[in-house]
Amino acid sequence: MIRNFIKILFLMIVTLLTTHEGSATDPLKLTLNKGRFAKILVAIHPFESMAEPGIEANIRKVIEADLNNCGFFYSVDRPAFPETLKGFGAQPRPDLWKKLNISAVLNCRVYNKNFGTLGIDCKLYDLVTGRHLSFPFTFRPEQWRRVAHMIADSIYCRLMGYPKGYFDSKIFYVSRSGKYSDPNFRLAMMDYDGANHRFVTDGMNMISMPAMPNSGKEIAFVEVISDKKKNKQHKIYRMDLLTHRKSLVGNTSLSTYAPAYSPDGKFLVYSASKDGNSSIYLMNLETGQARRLTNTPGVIDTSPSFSADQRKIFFESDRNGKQQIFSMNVDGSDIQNISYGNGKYCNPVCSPVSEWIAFVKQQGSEFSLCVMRPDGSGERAVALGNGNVLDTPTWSPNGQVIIYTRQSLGDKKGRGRYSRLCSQDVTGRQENLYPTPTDALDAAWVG
Amino acid sequence: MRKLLISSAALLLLAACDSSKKKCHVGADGSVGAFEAGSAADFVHNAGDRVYFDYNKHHLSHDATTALDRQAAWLMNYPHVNVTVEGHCDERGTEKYNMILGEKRAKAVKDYAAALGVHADRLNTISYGKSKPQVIGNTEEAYARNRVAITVVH
Repeated sequence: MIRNFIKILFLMIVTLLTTHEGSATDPLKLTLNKGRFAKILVAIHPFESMAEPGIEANIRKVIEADLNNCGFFYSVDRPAFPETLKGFGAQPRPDLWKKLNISAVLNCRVYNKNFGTLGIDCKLYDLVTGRHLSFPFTFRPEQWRRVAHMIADSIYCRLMGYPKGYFDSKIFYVSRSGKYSDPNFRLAMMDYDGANHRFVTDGMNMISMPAMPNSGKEIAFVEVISDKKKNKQHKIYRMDLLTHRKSLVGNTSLSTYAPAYSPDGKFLVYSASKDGNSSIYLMNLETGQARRLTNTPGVIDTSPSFSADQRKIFFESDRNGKQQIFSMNVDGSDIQNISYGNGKYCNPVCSPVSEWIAFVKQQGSEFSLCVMRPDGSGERAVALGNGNVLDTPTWSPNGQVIIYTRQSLGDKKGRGRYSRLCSQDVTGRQENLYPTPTDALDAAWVG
Repeated sequence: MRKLLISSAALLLLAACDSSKKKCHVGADGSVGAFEAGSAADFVHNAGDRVYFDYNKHHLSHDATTALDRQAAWLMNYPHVNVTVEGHCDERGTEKYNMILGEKRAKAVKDYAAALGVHADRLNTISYGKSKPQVIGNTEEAYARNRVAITVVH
């Protein structure tokens, strides 16, 4: 109860701080003030282990990192614990832990199971409500990171009251390396925390704009292909992530860009263009039939995104002279402008679970990452460019965090240039930068 | 009429060159370059391979059309050569929009060259948006050099 009250208070403070369009000073500068937020203290007790040594400490470290990185928790170090639990069966004494403001204690035991698998039993003592949670997992030893993320998700969901976490998730992105004027673009993937990084494509052809369905079984992206006459074109491909088999989307002579899946994974919405005339198309992935949804000559309609309830498609268009965000029905009817403020409204992406739309706003040379409601209300900034270019937002599977591309153009001579993925909690409280091995852009997040 | 004038100008320039056509080519500015006639290097040095655009614009300026007059003259001299016009944008914009803006820039170059008589089938176009900046640097000059359409000889 108290925790929920504090949560609501946070949201109110953030909303007050970041509501803009019309405030006296520049309100975009007020968003981030991490010191303002009290964190929920949790204790991850050392685990009992009857399995191979080290694995329990590794799991514990990843759980602590997940909780600390998300911005809502602080994992208290062991020396500060008021007592040591004698084994997995021992219950913590609530009065001792609550005196230190510790809200929850996690205790686990790891043991060997059949056929080389391991088991882990977890008990989460929620000292605020007095309601405790028990949950077990079975896993192969090499899956220890994934299990740690799943345990952290359970803690996060219980203590925050969300139905879904995001630690057990994967991020696909475009890796850029080599000379800036002729870079190598490869599709790469990693766990949400940057671990298990690997490259998925070889970088022979330029790729961009990856998108994934909620199932996580395939990925769509745009690849530059050449014909026999050396004529090049951007085309959307779908790739099965198990077999790595690739198939071309559509049999059009147009260039195709900006794919996005419907929430049920049965449709792909994208833009197709020729000579700068760009329209939104919808393809039924079962039949391969494509349907044109917008048709205004000479304009740039692009960056479509399905709403979570699959009843609307949002997209970006410059049909009124500058980039703005529009909504329409899935048959292309009832096109409405939902962006009223100053500046350019770009790259709308709908939350997978709520009505919030994330987008990039450009005012002069200043970029910000913003969210708003489907009717254009409630607009607020969640991350500021501060001179950097922000681009291509993507939501965490639970709709609580946004990963976006942050690009610095460096100094006068371009020294210090970089492009990195950043994650940003939608309340504006926690921003993390991914230390990818190369320049990174265009994330797709699935879990 | 204009087409005719450019063609005759190109012919005159060619006539100024001696018989060893392989080694000698007179550029549109009158300079003599040591590049194989009709090669990519010849095109870059003697015709010029790029035209520039204003911020968020795809219309051809006077400077741009002057540059394209030279490109078109060269292309009409070498009718077997095909090219790709690459549209580029500076990096201060979003990727998906810039990809289409780059298409518009490439298309503007293609249309102008075609209007001067270069067969449209020889002019392929592609956009790279903001993904392949030609120069780096956080300055107006660098941005301006990245708002470019580059004609690349196949």
